[in-house]
Amino acid sequence: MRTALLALLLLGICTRSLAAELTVYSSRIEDLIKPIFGRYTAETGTPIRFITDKEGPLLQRLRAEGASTPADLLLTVDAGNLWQAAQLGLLQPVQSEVLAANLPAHLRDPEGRWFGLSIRARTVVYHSGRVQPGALSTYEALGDARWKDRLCLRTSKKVYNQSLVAMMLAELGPQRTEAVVAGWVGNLAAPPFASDNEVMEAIVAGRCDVGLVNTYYYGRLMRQRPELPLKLFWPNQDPAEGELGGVHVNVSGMGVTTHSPHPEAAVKFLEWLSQRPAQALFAGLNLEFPANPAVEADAITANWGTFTQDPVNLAEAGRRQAEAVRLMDRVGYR
Amino acid sequence: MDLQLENLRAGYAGRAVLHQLSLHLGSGRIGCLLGPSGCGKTTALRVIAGFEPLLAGRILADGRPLSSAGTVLPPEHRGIGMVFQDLALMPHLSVAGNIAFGLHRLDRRQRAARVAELLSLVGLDQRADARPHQLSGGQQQRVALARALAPRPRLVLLDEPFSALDVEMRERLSQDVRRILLHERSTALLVTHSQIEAFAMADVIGVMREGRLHQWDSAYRLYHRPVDRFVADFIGEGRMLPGRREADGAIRTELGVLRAHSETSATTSAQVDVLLRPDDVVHDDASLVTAAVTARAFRGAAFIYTLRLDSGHELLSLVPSHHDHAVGSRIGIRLDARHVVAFDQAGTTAPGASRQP
Amino acid sequence: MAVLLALPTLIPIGASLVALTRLDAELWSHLTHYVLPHVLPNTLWLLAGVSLGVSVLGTALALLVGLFEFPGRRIYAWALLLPLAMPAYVLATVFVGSLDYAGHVATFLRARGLLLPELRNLAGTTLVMSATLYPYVYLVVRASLAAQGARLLEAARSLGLSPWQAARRVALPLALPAVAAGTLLAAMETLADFGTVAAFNYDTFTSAIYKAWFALFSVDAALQLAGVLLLLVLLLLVLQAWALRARHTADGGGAPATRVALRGPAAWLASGACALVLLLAFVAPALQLLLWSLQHLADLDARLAGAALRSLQLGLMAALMVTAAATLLAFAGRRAPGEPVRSATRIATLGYALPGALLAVGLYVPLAALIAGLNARWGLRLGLQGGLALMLLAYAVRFAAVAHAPVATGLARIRGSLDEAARLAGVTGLRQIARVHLPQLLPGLSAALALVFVDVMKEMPITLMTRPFGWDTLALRVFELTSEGQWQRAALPSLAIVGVGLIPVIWLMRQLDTPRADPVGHGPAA
Repeated sequence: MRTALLALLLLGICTRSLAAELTVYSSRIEDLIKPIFGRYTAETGTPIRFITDKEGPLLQRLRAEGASTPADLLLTVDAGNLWQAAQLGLLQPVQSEVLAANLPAHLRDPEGRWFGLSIRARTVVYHSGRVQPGALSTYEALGDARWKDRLCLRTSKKVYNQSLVAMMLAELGPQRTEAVVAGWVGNLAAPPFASDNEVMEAIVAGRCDVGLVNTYYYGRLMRQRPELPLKLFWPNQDPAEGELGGVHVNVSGMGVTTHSPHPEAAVKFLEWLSQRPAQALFAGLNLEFPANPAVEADAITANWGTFTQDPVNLAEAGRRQAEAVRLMDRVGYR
Repeated sequence: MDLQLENLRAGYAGRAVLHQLSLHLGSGRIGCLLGPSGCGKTTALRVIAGFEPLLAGRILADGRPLSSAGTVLPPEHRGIGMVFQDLALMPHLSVAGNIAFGLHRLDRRQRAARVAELLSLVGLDQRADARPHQLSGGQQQRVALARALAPRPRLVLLDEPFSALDVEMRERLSQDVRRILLHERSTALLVTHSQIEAFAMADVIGVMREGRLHQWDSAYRLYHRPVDRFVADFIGEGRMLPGRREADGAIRTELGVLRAHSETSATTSAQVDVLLRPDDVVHDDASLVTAAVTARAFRGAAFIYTLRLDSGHELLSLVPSHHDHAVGSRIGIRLDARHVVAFDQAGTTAPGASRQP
Repeated sequence: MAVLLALPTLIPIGASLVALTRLDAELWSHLTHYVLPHVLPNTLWLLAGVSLGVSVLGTALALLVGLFEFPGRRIYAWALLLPLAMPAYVLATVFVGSLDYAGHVATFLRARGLLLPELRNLAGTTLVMSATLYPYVYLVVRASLAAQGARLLEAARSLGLSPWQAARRVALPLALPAVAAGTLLAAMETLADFGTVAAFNYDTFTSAIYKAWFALFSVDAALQLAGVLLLLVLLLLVLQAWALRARHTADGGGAPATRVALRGPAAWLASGACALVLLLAFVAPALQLLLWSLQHLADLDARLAGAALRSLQLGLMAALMVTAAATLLAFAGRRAPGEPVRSATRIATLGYALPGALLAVGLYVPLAALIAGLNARWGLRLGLQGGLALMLLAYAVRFAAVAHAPVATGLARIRGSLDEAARLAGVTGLRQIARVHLPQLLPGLSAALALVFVDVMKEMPITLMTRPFGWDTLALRVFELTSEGQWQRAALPSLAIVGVGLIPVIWLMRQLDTPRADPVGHGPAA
């Protein structure tokens, strides 16, 4: 009897120490991750704790903590910072057939150090009254003279624009990219805005006719005010030479840290995230698109129609980000 | 300026600081309000300067009203200068800058000339560019006076102007200030708690207590003809000796009958107190009346002896200092009072003498 | 001791100096060609504009409220401090959201033929930053007026100056050191600001620092730029010391000045000016926030209450700790006046001009690296996972300047003879501080406490980096919502920041308006 009790006690201690607690450093905000983490804990019993901060401080923190970091996973809202984290040696390669099967190749690191979990598409938004969709074609064409004083853009300091220009650098080359971005700047109807919302509001207010936004901002705004005369357009669906190979997508994604105390549990969590219930929840919380093509988008996002994504690997967004920023500095895109 | 105060009442509604204050200060004269701290003399100055309103009464300058209940001419329109107790020199300005402070209506040349004139008048020609904190207390005092005089005010108010200085400096400076005020032909009203200052500077002095002016008079008359016990007690030294008025008007005391050349008294009863100054009590070895020495104060040329009569009453006596008597010894005395000051023993009929608020 | 207190600040400063030795020539060539020529003039103009704005607004309002009586003055006296509780980034959001071209106010006016000028530029940024930062000047100038006392103004009146002239020729020059101190705080906050300029997309030196770090992936370049920024601040400090070298503050005599009643148009003009400032800087934006909040009332839940409580706790703890540290520093300056302590003080107050995120990293990274090094050397498993101690330390580095200014000014007004008298009476050391200085320092201390409290309430980057797991504050709620572009949903926590921040502001105002015993010991005049 006493031996049995002792055994039970020991077992209890053992199970507690075996049940790994995962720690996530996240730049995706609490509202968009907590429900998913909670669901995973409910399903598997693995508690997850997290801190949120901007990517820059998070990377520095990981770097400084080195081997003593409590973090198992790094979660960001763009590919560029994942690439940079990998570059700094903060993320470890993961070999997982589940992840390879579930997530498209261009949305994850070729070496398996990070994985895109949801798609953030950056596309064209236009005033449905003043612009015929037929007049729209590509990102590059927004630099044409016909859009003089009709274009609104968000600041070049936002990483989504930096990623877009970085992908253009990878696919179009520096000269063509610089010409396109310079064309955009020349067409601006107002100084660049601080947010995508302001871009859309400026279009509604009549200050300009077209802009570039992430789709979930559009979705959120239209859910609140469905009467607004705004429509989305999917550019570069039939790309020619010197044009981006499809709609520019970014990802919110994750990687396992180099010094993760619980790498196996971290990979298991990642695999769970790449599958059906989690994929729909992860994207659906913010009107993003699931990265797993087998998981269908929710009703609202599905309404915007299907589109072809730019197939080039997103690692380019990180690799060429600094170059893209310098290019935008040079042409005076603030 | 001819200053006339008529029945001033000031302070807060519930608690007046000044009661029925009236006085007249002729043009070119130097007046002084004298009294213990808290007697309302500074409030009187501030009311005259226009910093505080009146509850009742009027202030007239050359016959024109400056303040009355409800209307106050702003201080800057009164043409009244003031030297503050803490001097209130502008710390950010030089000596010359301080003196020139009130001369903003003059042009640059006139201003420089006036500043130079005052600098030499107060003897600070060499310190024109110094900052106030670099000056000695006496020098700061002179800057404050020069600043107040610079715009040629019709009246200068001085609030305890020498309180921060040592005694020697006070005496020298009070002479200087009187000279300067006379030179500028200013009318001036001074406030102090020091008789010495008041006597040294003022033509006319008012003794105040608890917001009331007891007597407005020359120094001589305040000393020799005090109107009540308070003034008698506050000005100079002396003791009261009880006496009884005889039918012929003479006053009988235990030291004999006082029959004076003149008398200041508003007595109505037979039982009176007579004010005896130290010089009224003369040491006389031949006298039959003796008293015991209980204390003595050496004043150089003279001693002031505190004496106790057999009746237990105390007197002060001024005695040339070659008469050296030890405490405890008995000396002969007699009265030599040219002028008798007597009060009713009850003390209630004398104006305001010992009234409680 | 002062040197010890300056040490934490030296960590991030040292980090930026070390970084100066690792210049990336190609990157710097880009910065000097395309970034600095843009942000340097921007920064200097903004600095000049905000300095001018806060000194004029703060001084004029303090003189008006301190020296004159007019309709509503008693309310304005404390209400004019309210903008202190409004974070500049929130005000910026409200301004852009309502007054920019697409904003509803601008749209409403445009429909009636009134075209508002472009807001997202130097003028707009200056306006918003001046509107939130002027209370620093207002606060210190009012304290300085109270200390000047009435006597000098009365002297000026007796010399024929009107109340206006007396204010201009006496009160104003004597308040200049206070104006300079308040303006310096505002200037440092302007240099460190990121949220406000980001909302206006107006690029300053801080924008360049973040660009180098976040976009160009070069922490070194960010730290190097910060080093340059610190040099700029040092220059400001030296300039201030030089400009005030021959200034004397007045320990004027007498009670605080009796206010001169304004009549007729002057009274209404004064009242109107105060009302306009208050309306623009606080009332209208607070109403706008309230309107937006009403659309997201569902967020008014236990989580928000928890965040508010946490903010309150943090603010209180930080206020007490930072004020205590600043007080020690000020006492060190009094006991051992000399270059070492002065330099240490200058260094300790530099943190206020550093962009918060950079300061957080500059502090956290060396400490974390140290612990990682210890772990590697000794095989330990220590962790630095944020924590209250680190958080408070970082706040101290950031806000020492805010607390130091009012405490040091208050301390300077206490006469040295008091120290000596206390020593003769056998009251020395900490007992002397407790019994002689602290009671007289109360106004300065309460100003320091309130300012630090409000600043901590509004602070984001340090809180983000150093908070323990699961901690949630109001400013972090605002950060999270705005980082996903949910500006209107951020209105509720913003409003909560304003609400909680009001508590110390109102408390401070009551302190300022309570007549107190004359600090220099003149009794009531006879």
